[in-house]
Amino acid sequence: MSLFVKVSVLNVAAYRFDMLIRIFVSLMHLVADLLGVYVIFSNTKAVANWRVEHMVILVGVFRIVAGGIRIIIQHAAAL
Amino acid sequence: MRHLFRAFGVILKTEINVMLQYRGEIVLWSVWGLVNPLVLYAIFKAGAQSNADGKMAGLTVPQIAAYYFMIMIVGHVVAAWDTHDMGFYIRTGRMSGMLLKPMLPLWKSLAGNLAYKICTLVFVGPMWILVVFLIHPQFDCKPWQVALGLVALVMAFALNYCLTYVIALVAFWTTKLDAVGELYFGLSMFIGGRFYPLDALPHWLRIFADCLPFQYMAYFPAELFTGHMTDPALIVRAFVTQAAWIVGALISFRIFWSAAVKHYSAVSG
Repeated sequence: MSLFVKVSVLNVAAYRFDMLIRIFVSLMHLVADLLGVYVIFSNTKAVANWRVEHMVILVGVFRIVAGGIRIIIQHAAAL
Repeated sequence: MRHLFRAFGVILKTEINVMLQYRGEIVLWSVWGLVNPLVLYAIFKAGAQSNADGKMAGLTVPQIAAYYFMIMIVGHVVAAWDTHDMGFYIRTGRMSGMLLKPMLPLWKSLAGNLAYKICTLVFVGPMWILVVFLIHPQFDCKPWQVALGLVALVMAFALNYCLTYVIALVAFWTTKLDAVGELYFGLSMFIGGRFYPLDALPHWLRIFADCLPFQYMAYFPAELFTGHMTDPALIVRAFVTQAAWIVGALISFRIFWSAAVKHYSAVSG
């Protein structure tokens, strides 16, 4: 697994401009997710009995899983 | 110009044949185009049903259905992906061959874009009809709004295509551009009205959205088709702004294309 991570990092770092923008985009993804939750819950109190706390947890779990897939599998598999 | 149209027709036919080789991929992309608006519709519908007045961002459930149905169609028509393709063409050396041809590579890309939409229409067309029966959208539009909506839709495609292509030219300097493409796509989804109707956004974010061209690529045509946009002064202002962004993108293309070709050096191939 560490080899996969290493290959992924090397693959991304090969294109420095893209890597810098990607770091920014990753942060923006998280901000956009939370902003999305804020937009929904500024217009309603609940979504099918889900409150804002539930949605934030869902976003967090999704980001952790998606980030793990990206770091370990996606870039290494793209080689 | 006649020669250009004839050549473009041939390229379009070729691209359609290439596209038809990958029918499974066409189906997958078509399904993806449906899933995103339908998920957002489900969230907004559930949110509206939780409110005492049964509305969310001023829209009733059938109006929300109409909005996301139109976003589904508009999103399909205006789609452009050159920010992803351009870096690939440059990294693999394919751009070198394209530059040797007597036509701008833009025409091949445009033909590929149209071919995708023509081929996917066979799949998404029946799905759109099915979606109408499932979500029961309520359209409050008059014939003049539909007519203006069609014009806005064509202009929205022109704007998104030109702007995407201009941004894609950065790949001539940076070789890889996928992250920029993601940033552009994310902004167009979030503040272009494809995630939420812009009326749902907080005031400060709405001001930010008004300063950028993304709402003229999806929100504006969708609002015309659903009949939510009725103020003539607002419609005229939106058309003028949309046209101004297209002209700006075309001028930028002329400037950046010339600079990009001068800077180009093959990477591979």
